Amino acid sequence: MQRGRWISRNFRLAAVAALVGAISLAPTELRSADAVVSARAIPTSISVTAGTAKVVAGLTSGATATGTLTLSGITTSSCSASTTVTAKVTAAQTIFVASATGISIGNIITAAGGGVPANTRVTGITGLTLTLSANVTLAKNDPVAFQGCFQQFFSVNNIGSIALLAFSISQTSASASPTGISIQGCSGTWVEGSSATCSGGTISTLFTNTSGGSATSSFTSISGTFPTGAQARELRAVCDRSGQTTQINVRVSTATDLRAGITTNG
Amino acid sequence: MKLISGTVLQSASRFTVKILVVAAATVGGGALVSSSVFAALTAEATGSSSVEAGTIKWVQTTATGDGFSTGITGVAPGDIQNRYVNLANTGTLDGLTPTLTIVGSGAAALTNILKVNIQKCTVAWAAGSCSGTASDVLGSVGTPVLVSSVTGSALTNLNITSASLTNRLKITITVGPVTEVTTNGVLPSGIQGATSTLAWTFTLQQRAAVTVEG
Repeated sequence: MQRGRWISRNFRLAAVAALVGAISLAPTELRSADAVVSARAIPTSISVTAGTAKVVAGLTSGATATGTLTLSGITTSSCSASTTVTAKVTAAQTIFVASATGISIGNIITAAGGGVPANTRVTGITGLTLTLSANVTLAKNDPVAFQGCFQQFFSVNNIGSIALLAFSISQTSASASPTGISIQGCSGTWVEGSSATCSGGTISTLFTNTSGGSATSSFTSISGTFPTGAQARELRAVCDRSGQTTQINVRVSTATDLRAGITTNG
Repeated sequence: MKLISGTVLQSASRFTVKILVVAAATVGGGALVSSSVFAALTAEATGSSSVEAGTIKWVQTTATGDGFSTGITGVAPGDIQNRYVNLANTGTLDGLTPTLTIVGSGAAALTNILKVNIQKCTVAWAAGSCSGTASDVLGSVGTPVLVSSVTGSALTNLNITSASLTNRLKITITVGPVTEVTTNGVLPSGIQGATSTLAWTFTLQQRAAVTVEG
């Protein structure tokens, strides 16, 4: 009986010991065969380079120099024109003319029949309505002549790699000009000379800086189609005094002035 | 006293026997397990049944045009550039969870305004159009995602099973809006003239492990 209990007790001990041995030597982690396999396509790269949007103002269509353009040669006389008055005016600063072609702000107006004080100048042009610096008295169909403004041509060139639909221009007058300095464009082709004309188009005054000497105008946007590597516009600075100087600044905004986005399949 | 001594000796003898039994059982149990493990390893190494691992190959190739082989130049805000590549699982294992990571380097200002969307067509793309069925893989035509946010991004609607149809992808890179002003031809510090290099990594995971009886 006692021998039976001894055998039973030692059998249990043996079983426990066997389990301890088995546990201590059993594998304790998963094999690497359970790791997840992934594949990567051979990495490739592609470069993306942005274009440039920039214009410069220069004296020629091929100018590429950056920086402000100073016009110091506004000395060539231009702007001679003649037309007739289309409505009677009496002691008034506003007159109506049959044609405003060739008339610029700063022109001196004369009338063969009198009624126009000496040195009366054009101070504003709106369509066929002219605003003058003094009161005049004229009859309907009276002939009037305009002359005595000064000009210098310059060019705005697209030197960037992106075509443009607009650019902006500003002007700072370096010396006083009583009626301001105007920047004019031509819808056709400028024919430069002392009596410059706009062949095949009309002259339009883009803006006039009338704030006086050393004043800077706000930027005015000029729209059009301006391809890369080419002259965007030829413009003319006009004022009523010889020897005036002005500085031209041009700029382009990527937000408003660039061509429309292009979709390319490559 | 003899009786006492005999009892003590008998007890000591029993105790010694117990220790021996325990020790023998411990070593024996361990040996039992160890021998079974080694037996399994030996069977894998020399067994007659072969085990061949499958393959998973995620292969990207140029479809038409330049693919990724030629850079994109002279872009402006609003421009869209489409590139065409093929992507296929040419391995023997089905794939799972395809993703894309794009890492930009170079001009961060440019990278940060670039957007991308990817479409798949069931037939070859022709001049930007899909005459079959097109589906979005990443983003959508109207809602491209920022390139800088494509990090392990999930790709959808791809054929990822083994030897499945090639994925004909149109990758559309859109230049987002930006406002920079260039005065008198002097470029500001920004994106203009800058270059961003985009590294593309398409990744495919293996299918889930399976248990095969047989």
